[in-house]
Amino acid sequence: MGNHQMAQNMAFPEWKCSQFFGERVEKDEVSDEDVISALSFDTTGNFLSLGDKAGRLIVFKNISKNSSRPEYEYLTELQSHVKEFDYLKSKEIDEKINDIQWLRPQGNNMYILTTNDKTIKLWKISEKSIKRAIPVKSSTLKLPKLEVIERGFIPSLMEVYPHLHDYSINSVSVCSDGEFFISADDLSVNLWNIERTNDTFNIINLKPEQIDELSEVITAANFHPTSNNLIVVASSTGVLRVADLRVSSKCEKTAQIFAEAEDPASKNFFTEIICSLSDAVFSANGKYIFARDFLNVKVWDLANTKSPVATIPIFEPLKSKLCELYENECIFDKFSISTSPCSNYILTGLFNNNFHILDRTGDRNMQFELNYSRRTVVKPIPKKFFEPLGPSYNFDRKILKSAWHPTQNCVAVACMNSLFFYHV
Amino acid sequence: MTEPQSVVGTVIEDLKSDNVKRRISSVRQLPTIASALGKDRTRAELLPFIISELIEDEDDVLAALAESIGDFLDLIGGPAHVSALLPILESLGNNDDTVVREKTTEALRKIFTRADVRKAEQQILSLVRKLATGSSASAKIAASNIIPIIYTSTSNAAQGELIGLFTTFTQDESSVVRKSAALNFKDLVKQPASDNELASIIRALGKDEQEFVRIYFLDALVNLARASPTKQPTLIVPQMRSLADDPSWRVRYSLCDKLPEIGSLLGKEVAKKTFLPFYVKCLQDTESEVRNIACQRMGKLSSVLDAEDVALKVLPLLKTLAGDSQVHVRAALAGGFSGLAPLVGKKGTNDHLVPVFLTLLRDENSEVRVACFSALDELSKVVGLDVLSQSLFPTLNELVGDKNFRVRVSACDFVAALAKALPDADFTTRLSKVITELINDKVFAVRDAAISSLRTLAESKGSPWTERNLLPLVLGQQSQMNYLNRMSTLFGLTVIVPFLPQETVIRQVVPVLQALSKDTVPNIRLNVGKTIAATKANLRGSMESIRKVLTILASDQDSEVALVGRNTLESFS
Repeated sequence: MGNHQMAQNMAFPEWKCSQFFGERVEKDEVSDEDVISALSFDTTGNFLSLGDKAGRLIVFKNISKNSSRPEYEYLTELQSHVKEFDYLKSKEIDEKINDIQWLRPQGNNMYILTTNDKTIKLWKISEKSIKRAIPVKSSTLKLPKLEVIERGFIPSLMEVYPHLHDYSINSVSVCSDGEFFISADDLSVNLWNIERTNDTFNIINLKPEQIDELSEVITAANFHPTSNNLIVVASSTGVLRVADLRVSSKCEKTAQIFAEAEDPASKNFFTEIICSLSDAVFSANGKYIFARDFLNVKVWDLANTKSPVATIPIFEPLKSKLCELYENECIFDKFSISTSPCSNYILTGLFNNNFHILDRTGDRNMQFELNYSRRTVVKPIPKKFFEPLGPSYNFDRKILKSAWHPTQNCVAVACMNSLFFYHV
Repeated sequence: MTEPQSVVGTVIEDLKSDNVKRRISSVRQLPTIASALGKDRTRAELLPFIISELIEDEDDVLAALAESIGDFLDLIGGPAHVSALLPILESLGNNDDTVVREKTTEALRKIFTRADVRKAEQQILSLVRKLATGSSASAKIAASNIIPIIYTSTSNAAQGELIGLFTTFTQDESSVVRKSAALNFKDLVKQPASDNELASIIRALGKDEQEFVRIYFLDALVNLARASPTKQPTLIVPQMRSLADDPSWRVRYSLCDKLPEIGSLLGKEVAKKTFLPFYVKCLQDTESEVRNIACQRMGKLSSVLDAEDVALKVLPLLKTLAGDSQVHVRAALAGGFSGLAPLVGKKGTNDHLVPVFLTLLRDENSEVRVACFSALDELSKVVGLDVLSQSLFPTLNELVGDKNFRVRVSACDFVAALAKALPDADFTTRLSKVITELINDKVFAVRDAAISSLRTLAESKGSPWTERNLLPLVLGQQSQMNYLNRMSTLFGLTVIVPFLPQETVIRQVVPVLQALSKDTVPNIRLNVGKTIAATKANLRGSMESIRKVLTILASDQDSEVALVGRNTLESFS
């Protein structure tokens, strides 16, 4: 039974909205600071963290006893990054969190990597009981007796990985055994050892000899889920590179290139912009790469570098709005893409409070609409779908960041300053 | 000796202070607290306190605790009580933080070398067992750190169990545990163990898919080769052979890096057969880092290569390497290839090595040119300097005139090397001009390096030569317009006066010091004082005049000059 038939026979899971955090407010009332800019589940799925434009890291915990349906509650938060000033370039460095990655938990401690444009930090959050010594007057030496004041989650900054990127960091990704991580900015990818902060190794550098010849920037980079020597790098020209760290120390030349031949017939003014990949991840089983450009999701098989196994248009009516999108600059928005734990489904966001869950073969595409009354509004999008998008189509309510639980069918979706959970 | 009660009391209180730094300093003084409490109370009260209260503390505090615990053996009544420390050590060993674990391993090493492991064997074994069979990776890593430490002191039966546990680590599904096992294996192999047990571990590690496991494994193989030479043919050499074909460049890099050592351990016959093809491939490897290390090691491979091999296999590759696209490969070549000279002899050097040298000398990158000069010594020993000197001088002049000051600093070293090798006449004509230029450089670092090179020259050439050649150079600076250059005279004198004969000092040096002590720039006068202080031993012949100079300085307008003058005068009396 081939993949295609199997997918058709499997019923598309029924998703329901389970929780949300946030209120319905007008766009102008949303404080810019609170806009969620990064979102990540931890490796077990018991915790979720999000980062916002004010540099805060907020952690949620799964409190549900029911193992098949998680329920999240606010746990703690910390101020991860603050605004800084770069003296050499006379520029302000924004405190907005660009990406978050969890390391495997050890004991009772949570380890989280966060990054803004320039600095990566490793935070440890541990549950500790804060005790105080009961004052005792004694003439002989006595060891103090302690009483518990409270139990709480104490964050501590474990490491700061210094400012070693020339451009803005867009992603960090940890390898499967947690010893190394990569950080990617517009033109380079650096490899770090978690425990060493005084140097990093540059593995990919796309900077051309003459800076005016610049034609391609890096938009995202991620490690393979199980092989800690493979990384995927997505670029603005729609090209994916998969580099094997064991083959050579510098990977620009030896990376495998996954690129589709351009079809000159379908080129138009917007092609260059919309072919830019906003995100790319390996599927959970490590066999596929899911990449998202502005209008489509492309599924690549690692064994085939010539063409993707599937190119799935997410919401075709957007094609007719390209001019408007260009004018309001929404055409440059970067949406994230996530894999389901079974590797058969893909999650990605869109405008107008919508997000999509598609299956890997492209046969089914479900569009969900967020709302603040916990109803689940979903409609299937068939192939060759068209509907006119009226003036009520809201480009401001966009879902840039979304994440799939690592082991269960539960997704977290962020829209501006609100967070929604859907589960099966 | 006991500290006053109140002081110890404060330290005890600080064990739970709100301020982390005070807790850390308190924990560092745990030995003091323990000796104040006495052995029995330490065992009865302090240790339980540590277990219940301190163990939950921050990692920094725990790291300090691990450090202190290593010294606790005496404080609890001697090695017989080692089992009382085991719960604390187990808890620390389980900790996620690497620094805490490392310090714990150190503490364990301290404790177990002194403790009677046999007596406490059961408890120690159960500690290791608990850690090894726990679910957390950190516990297993801690266990793999401990096993090499206690292995030799345990009974045969226990040793068998320890090796068994260790073997499970090498096959653990977590790659971090396997890496730690591989890392610790190199200490484990130093101790005698049966072939069978080792063989299974070696097989598992050699095939591991993690490249770092294989790299650490290589270290272990080297240690094993050193410790048990008899095992080499069956166990070690085949494993090393397969690492030579490894697809991961980092493994090939490590192997090439250690090749000289491996060669001397395995003996030339075996080394040649196993590794000569590998080395030749490394010189042509697609990965530049591998080519780099191969070039760096080139001169040190006499344990693996002999003259014929070099001539047949290595020399043909030199030309391509000299034109390699990567700068650091060419620089490594420049540094490493001269070691081949003794192997190939005069004709071989003339025919093959000198042309490569001349190509590298003309390289567009100054780093490469600079690296060439270190090759000079070896080459000149075999072929003599005349052949090389014709090309050397133009290059030297280029380096001395380079825009980058660091290059000019390196040039100073070569000037010294060249001057050492050249006969006198050549020096006066060519090198003295170069040295003068360097002493007059705008950048202090260059002037400083030039003057230090004078010291090397004076040391190697001796007194008369120094007087003839270096003294005029140094003294020539004293009438320069820029005071910085006049300073060079003083710095230079400090360096070469120890090498000059007494009359010269009296006749030529003292008048200069007198003249400069009246210089208008205070810094110069200050340095006259310093120079006199530094060359005190050589100025004994002209105490009168020197004292006069110092007296004048001591009453100088500038307070610093006066201070130096006074201090130096005092030191003379």
